[in-house]
Amino acid sequence: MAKFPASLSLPFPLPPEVPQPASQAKAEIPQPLWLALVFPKLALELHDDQPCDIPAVAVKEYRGRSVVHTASQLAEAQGVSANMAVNAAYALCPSLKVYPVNQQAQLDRLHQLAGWAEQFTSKVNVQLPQALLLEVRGSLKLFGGLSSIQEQIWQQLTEQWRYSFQSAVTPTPMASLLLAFSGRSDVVQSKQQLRSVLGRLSINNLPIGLKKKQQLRNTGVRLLRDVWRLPKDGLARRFGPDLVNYLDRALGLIPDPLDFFVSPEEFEAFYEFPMEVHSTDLLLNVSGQLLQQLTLFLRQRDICVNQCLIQLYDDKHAATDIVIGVRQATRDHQHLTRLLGEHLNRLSLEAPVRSVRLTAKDFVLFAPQSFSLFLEPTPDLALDHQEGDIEILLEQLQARIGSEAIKTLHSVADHRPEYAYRISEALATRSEVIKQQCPLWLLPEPCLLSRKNHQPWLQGPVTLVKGPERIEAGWWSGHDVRRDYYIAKDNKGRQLWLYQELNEHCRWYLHGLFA
Amino acid sequence: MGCSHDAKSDRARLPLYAELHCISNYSFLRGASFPEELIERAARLGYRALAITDECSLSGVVRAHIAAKEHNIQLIIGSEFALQDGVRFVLFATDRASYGYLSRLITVARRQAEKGGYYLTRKIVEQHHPEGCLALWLPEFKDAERKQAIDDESLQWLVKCFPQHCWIAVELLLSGDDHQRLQTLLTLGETHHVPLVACGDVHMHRRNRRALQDTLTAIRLGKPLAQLGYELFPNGERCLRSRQRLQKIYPRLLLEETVRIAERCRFSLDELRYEYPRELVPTGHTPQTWLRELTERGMQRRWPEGTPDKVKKAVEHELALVDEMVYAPYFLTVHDIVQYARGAGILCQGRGSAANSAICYCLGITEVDPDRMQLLFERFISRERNEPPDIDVDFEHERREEVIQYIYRKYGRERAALAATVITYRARSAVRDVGKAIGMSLDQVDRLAKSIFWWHRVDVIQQQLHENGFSLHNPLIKRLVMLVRQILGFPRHLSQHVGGFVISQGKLSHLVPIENASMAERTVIQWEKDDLEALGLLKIDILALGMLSAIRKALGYVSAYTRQSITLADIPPEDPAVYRMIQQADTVGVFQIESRAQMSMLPRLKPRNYYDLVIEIAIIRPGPIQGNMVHPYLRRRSGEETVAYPSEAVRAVLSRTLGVPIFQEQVMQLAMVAAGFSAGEADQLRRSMAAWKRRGGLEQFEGRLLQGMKARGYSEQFAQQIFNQIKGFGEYGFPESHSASFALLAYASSWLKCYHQAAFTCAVLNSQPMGFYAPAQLVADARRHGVQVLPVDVKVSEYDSTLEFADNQSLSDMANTKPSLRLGLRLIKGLSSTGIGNIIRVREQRSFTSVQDLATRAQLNRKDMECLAAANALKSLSGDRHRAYWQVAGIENSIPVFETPRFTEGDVMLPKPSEGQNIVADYATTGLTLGRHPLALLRDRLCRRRIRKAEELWELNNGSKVTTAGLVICRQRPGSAGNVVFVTLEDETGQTNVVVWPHLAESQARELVKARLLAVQGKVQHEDGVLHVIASRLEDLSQWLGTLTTHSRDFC
Repeated sequence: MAKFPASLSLPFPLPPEVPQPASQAKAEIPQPLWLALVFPKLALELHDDQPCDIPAVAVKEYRGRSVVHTASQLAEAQGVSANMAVNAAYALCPSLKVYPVNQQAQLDRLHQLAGWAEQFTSKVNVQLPQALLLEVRGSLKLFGGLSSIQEQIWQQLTEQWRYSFQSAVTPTPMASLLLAFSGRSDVVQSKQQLRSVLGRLSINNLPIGLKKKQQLRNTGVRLLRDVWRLPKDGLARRFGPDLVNYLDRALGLIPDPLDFFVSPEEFEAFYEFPMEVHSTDLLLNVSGQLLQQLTLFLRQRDICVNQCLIQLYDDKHAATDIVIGVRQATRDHQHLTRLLGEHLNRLSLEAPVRSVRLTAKDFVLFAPQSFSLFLEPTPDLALDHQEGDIEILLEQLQARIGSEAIKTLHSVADHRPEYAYRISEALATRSEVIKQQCPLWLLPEPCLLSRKNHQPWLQGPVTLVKGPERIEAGWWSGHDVRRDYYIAKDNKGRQLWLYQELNEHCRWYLHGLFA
Repeated sequence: MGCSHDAKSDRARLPLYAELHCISNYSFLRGASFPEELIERAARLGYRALAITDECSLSGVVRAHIAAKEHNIQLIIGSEFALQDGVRFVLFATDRASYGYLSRLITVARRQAEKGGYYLTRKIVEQHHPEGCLALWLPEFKDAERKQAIDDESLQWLVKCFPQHCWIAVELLLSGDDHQRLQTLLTLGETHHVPLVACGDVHMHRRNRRALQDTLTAIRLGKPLAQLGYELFPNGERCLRSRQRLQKIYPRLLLEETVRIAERCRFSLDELRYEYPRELVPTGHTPQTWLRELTERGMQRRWPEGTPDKVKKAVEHELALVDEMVYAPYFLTVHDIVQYARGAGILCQGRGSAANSAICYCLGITEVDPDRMQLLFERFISRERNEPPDIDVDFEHERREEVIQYIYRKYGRERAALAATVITYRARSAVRDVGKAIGMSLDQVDRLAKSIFWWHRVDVIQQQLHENGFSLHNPLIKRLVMLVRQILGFPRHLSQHVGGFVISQGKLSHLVPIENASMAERTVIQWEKDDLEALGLLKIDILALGMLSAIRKALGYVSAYTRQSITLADIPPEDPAVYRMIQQADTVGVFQIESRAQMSMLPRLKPRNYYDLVIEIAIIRPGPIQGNMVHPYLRRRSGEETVAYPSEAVRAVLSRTLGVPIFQEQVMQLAMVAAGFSAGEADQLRRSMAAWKRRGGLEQFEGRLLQGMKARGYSEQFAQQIFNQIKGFGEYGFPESHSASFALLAYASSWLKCYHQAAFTCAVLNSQPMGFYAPAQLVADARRHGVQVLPVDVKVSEYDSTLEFADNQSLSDMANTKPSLRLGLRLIKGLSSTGIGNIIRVREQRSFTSVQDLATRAQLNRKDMECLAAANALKSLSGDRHRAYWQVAGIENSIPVFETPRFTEGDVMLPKPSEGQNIVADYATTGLTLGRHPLALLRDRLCRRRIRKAEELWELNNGSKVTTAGLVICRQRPGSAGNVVFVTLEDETGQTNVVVWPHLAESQARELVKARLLAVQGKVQHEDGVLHVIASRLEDLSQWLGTLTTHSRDFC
């Protein structure tokens, strides 16, 4: 028998026995009731393209290795579990589909869910990375009782969102979370029951580090019940005051104030014309004012936007959307208006417009453009501005003739001429100098030349001036090139760029012309 | 045919050519061909000579040298360098002296850099000027835009360094402006009065290695091919080009100049003469007279009552041969090293053909008594082969470093260095590197590499990939397979040989370049063991052997408690009790005959004497097993089969092994007496045997063997049978000379086990890691033999495991009582050796009173304390494991000024650990338990599944179907057994041997590789007292072990 020394403090004392007041007094200060929603597979399920018949996992980096963060049910059925190395998972199911964990997307999705949950209560708390807490005491009447509200939540989750979820209800947020995380859907109405309900849970579910969990397990502690038996001061000394504090919060022994979710701000401005509008000038004028409102909104919050949406409504058709995007976040309404003008110039209105809506979200913090110390003061600023001006010019160009119409030439380090440059739509940074000695004017496709006396022939004889330059490269990409290039002259004096294939055919091609 | 005739005469009219700038794959991850391939190709193309000019290395030249002799083409020894400032040039050795300087320059450059790199500046080249070398300046066309722009300042420097010995390399590789380049260089040559010469910057022997060369570049630069861009060569011109092509590309004069250079490079590696260290001979003696003197002294020591005539004769015979071959210094060198070890109390033993000579026995290099051995080792040195004798010396593994440091001390780093081992691409590393290069994702590459199991041979890679869901039609996989095939066997880097030392009289760096090894204070030469052998250079293998450590320790313990000093030589020979034990396969922990294959053979072979052990050790090897030699030998030994010899000559060779060739020496002798091979040819056969699986090349011997035997009147059937046996031997044939030395240690360790089990187990535990068995099995075996084993206890245990005697015993009766074995602190996984040191030091002052007291006084960190708690070593201070952990977790980190802890805590209500928890924790922390076996706790559950115990299997009939289960304690795939996997299972009643055939091993690879607790369905097979279960289905029950620790899942 273990002896109890006198110094033993009673672990987790029960709340002091307060004389129970009359029942109506209790009704006046109702205990809160927390409904926890845990989305155990959110990291995976937020990928909408995830096929349901292929085992899948979301993967995180852990100490330089890829390990499983979340496994789909199919994957779990084949033995894949969290924290397993991805390679091991592959060994278990070779057809595994792998997604990286995307924390930002998870946060966004959780915020969306929080927004959705606001319909049930105004007190929604977001618990990263995959849970929500809803205080539902105040909503019970409105929704017709706890089971009814639960049912509605579950139904919407199943039908609308289709995420796996676990939920539990208790008087304290942490207890609800803990139960939900453990996959227990208990409903506990009074704090007094918490100790015995939570006592059955494994310490594996505690939100403490793996090392601390291992230390707890080493001492033979498996369940929270075992923890209740340990002295609080001893626990705090070994596992930190946070653990004791957390358990006290879960049992409702100390208060646990939470921040509530607030829907993010969006800018929205709307203007309804008194009459039908045909003229784009007028549209531009009105939109310009809306944009000015937006700028004001941005200034007040010291933020700026990457893009905003202008929607034109008429009576019959769906809204016409105009997206104004900028390369560098801005709050310059003149620039935005200019861009809008370019868009409107290209627009042919199908029907007269009745109203305009301007919306903007996804704001970024405003970072004033900093100028180099040595370029100041003014005269040289022009240099700096030039670059900005080019960008503005490019944006204007893009807005006027369409973003597809502007392309950039990049040089790419590749021995194969046709791969040595690439055209891309993105307005990328300045391209490097093209290294190879090849003409700028390449034919879109090399052009097969006829031969006379084993010599290439292009509307006449061709003289090889310089070469060969042998290029053998690209086998790894499936586009193996083996050619001897020559600079040649035709009888019109044009400088040609020819090559001969290094295969059994030895065919000649014209690949480019020198300017 | 007319056409080819024309070609031939054309070729005669072509200008002669010698390629002067050519790197092999010994310029690691640059060259894409083996030196042999380059030589062969150059010879075929009719080159006059080929220079192998690997970058700051001579690693590949010996192989090139051998190939050049074979293909009758001149090899030029050279090396390419890039200085820190970017200047690049090639140097060629013209004679022995300049070769020495070249080797020295490489050594200097290599020794100043990290392993694998080199550091060279103009100043170093000037300081260590390679006198007599020819230099070839490699112009760098830095600016791609203006290729004429060239920095001729570096040329001027090189010309100053090598006046009249300098050329400009003209490398025209179809870059598009070859013409301009040539003009630029011509002008440059005129300006500086330097001749020009044609070269090809060769990186591969054939154009079709272009993809591999690109891949090597990608691996070297650590980037996928698609991202390399201009870092790849633009084309595949850097190959050995035909002379017709060269004629079209280069002016004739430039081609002819190559031959003039080649003619000035007259040096051949054959000129290297090795000189043995001389300091070992006292004045007044020659090496030979001194060797005779030492041998005679040894003879007197070995046979104080007079040397047997047989031995005397043998010694005289050997001495005469040694004298003739001038090998006396070699024996003296080995003798000196062994003397040192003896003096320092380090147990050692020689092995190898020369080691088991009568001379070596007299010199104390080996303990194989020539009198006892019927003098089998007469032909330990071959006159014809002119090959240095071979002696390997094994030392205690924990003390070999002392011997190595002695050699460095005695001869200096200038004169002694380790031989290199070239690390080459194996299937898995090849798949990994090539996969990355061709742009597969890391996950894919890992998955691929893992899918290639370690037991798979090269030829099944393709099949493996297919089975793992990689489509062979996928172009990526096709390229992968193609490149992996090419890259297999390619050298990757140099590493140090396990112990091959080269010692010379003069500076070693004049013989072969020396470079830094990865281990600090270690240097390696750039040549491998085979290279040394091919050039006839001396090499002594200083090897490490765990069993020698264990035997020395055990002898020490026994000497201490029996109070009489016992040495290896005092162990009584041929003790019948020892052989009885061996015949029962009761050999856990003893040397060599402890493996499961050996153990299963012991009851059949029933060794009765020393020579039986020699055979036992050699016969249970992949070679004899694959050559189907085991069963005939067993049948003949048991008298089921009669032995007939086709001739007296064959009888002389094979009679000691009942007509079955078991040893490598016998195969060589057979080739000589039955097929008429010369000793040199027989040795070539031995080498080809070692390599034919990898490279082929045994076919050339097949015809000669068969014909030779036919000509000498042997039947075709016999000849074919011998050839098949030779083939089966492959690279695994075991020499009798090694087996004889090993058998001595096998006997000695068996004797110790037989009479001093506790001391023996204690010594083996204290020499870990070594041998075949883990501590758990060694301890379990000791307990089965009645040794009382005491747990690790922080209050009592020493660093090592120790022997304990009952307190009331007086010293005098210690000799007659059985000691107990107290496990040592070193068995605790993760416990630091500083921690152990502190515990023992502090404990001497005052015994520990509490966990806090221990932690404070021994200044143990939390991790050490946790390890102690986990190992239950704190039990005497804290009570059970859970309480120990709780107390450890509560230790105050700050070191208090006063030694008393600041406050005391009362007892806490912690659950008591269950038996299962304890056992599993025991296994996890010390790898062994003194409690019940884990399987005993699962027995009820196992019974419900009708799973039988190990001991029950013996009651079943041969062929019965059965299911058994146990902890997987060993998985083995002997190279010989054709992909069969042997698994040893252990339960509370003993061990079971399971045979898993290849098809099952592959279809249930996961269970086979991963299970810690494995259930096996199969058939019982027993014969000659050996029991196997032939598996038909495997089941992984590992999760059952998890449940032993109640509900946690942490056992791993």
